[in-house]
Amino acid sequence: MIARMQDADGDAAGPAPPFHPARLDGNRVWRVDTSRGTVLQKLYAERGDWLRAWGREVFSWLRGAKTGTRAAARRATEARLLALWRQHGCDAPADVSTDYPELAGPRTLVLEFVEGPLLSDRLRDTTLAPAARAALLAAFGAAWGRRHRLALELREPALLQEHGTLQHVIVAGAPDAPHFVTFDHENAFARAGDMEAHVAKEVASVLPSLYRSQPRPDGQRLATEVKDAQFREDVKALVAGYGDAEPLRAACARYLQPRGPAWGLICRIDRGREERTGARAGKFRVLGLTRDVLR
Amino acid sequence: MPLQASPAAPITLRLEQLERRPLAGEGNYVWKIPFAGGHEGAAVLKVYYGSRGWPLYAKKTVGNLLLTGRTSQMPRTRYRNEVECIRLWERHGFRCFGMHPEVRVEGLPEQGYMVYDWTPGRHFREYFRDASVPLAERLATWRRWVPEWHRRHAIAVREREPRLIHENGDVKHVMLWQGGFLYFDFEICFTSHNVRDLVGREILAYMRSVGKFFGPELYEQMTDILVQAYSDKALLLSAWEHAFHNSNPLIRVARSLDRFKPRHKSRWSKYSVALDIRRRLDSASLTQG
Repeated sequence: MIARMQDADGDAAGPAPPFHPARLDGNRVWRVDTSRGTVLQKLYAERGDWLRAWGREVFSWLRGAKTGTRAAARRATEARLLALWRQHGCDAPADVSTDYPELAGPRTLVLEFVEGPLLSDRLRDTTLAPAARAALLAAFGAAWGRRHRLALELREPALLQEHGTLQHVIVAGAPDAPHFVTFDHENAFARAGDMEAHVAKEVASVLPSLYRSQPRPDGQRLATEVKDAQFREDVKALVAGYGDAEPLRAACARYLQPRGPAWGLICRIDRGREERTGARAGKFRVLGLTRDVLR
Repeated sequence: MPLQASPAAPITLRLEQLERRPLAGEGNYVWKIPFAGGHEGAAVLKVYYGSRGWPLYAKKTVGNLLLTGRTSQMPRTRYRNEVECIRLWERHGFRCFGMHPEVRVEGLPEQGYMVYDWTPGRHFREYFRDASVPLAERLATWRRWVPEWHRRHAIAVREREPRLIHENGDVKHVMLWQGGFLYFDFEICFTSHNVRDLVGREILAYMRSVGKFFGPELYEQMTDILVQAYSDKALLLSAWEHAFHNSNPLIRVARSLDRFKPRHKSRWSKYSVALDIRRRLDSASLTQG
């Protein structure tokens, strides 16, 4: 109950999925220590029963906006995206499946094990000084902005995260020169189409996770005004590194002043639901705070 | 009179002149015989034309070939399988009983027997429940064995070779010998080329026997070590897939009905053991969902 309340606040992860004896309900990632070092073995499994898995796939195929949702398609997408990201100098774990054929297979990939905390955990660390926090966010903003500009320039949707979050970013390397290694690339936008919309989608999913990634001194729930103030500072630091903030402004505008009747209706329904639950880290609320800072 | 063993020189023995001491062997005649040059001056004579009658061989063969996806029960086929399997396993670096094909035994049908090295190792079944061996030492042995177990499974899957799967695999058919591990009993093999499923079946068979012979406390510890030391976790998950998520939809439906049988409610049923492995793999996973 408490976990669910905290989750509604957007401050905690949801409860663990129920154990189903006859199906896996999602991927597994294992750390494997080999004689040649530590790697991760990722097993791609279906989510839900076969009816749900096929239903999701058919819906996704009809929309045509995203890559396949079945386990094999997600494995192929991840392998392709990891190679693409690294080819363009964006930090992502290396796919080392060819080096570890004994661990790789049609349903598994072997990935480089990247040492380091998650960016979300690092930002929740109560010992992180404000200046160091701002520097970390500025460095992340620089990498983030560079990738967005690259994606827009190349019109490459695979360089954008379909479900971005700071929980999928590892802070690697030396503290004074951190690398932000982004993982979980199994789902991606399938078509270039409206690239600005893809960027906006990523921004609208990453910023709520930034809002959630705040330290809680003594483990106490923070007042909304305190969290909002910290978030504004975080956005300022992020934007300082990001460079030209036009994609961020456009993302805010896309959700807060939606254009077109269909998109407007979707946003109105979504926003109404968010307001009813009162989630502090809700997408529309966080984008509103961001828009205020960008002004 | 014991004869001198030599790999090259043919040796002929007469069955009626041999001093034979019966050893365990279900369906076969297995005797310890004097054999100069062999370990402790002895060898093992295994005769595949055993105590079972032809109707039983035929019945079991029909079941194996038509229903359970195994090789024939007929004596010559069992002889051929065992010899071929030993050569295959040894080629991949897994130790088995040394064979003496140069020995001919008069009075026995050709290709119906084989003389093996007398190998008085310690069966896993005895070793792991021997309280005089410190627990830490026994668990270290298990931890040392699991990677070898995985290596065999990985080769079997890679080469799609069902004969590298131990059809009668359990803790009764592995020995500790001269610091290494030694495997035996290969008369029957699987014929399916869905080797991944066979790997899952074998893992369940071994772990069920661990539970049955060593008890729940040691089983829990040995299963923990299995999940830690078996490097290909996805392949280890094939144990759960074999019982709960078979790639063949017909078998999957059959198993979902089979689970309700009273005998499968036991602690060491394949379903219970499969779930034990699955839960541990879930816990070891960095993420779920």
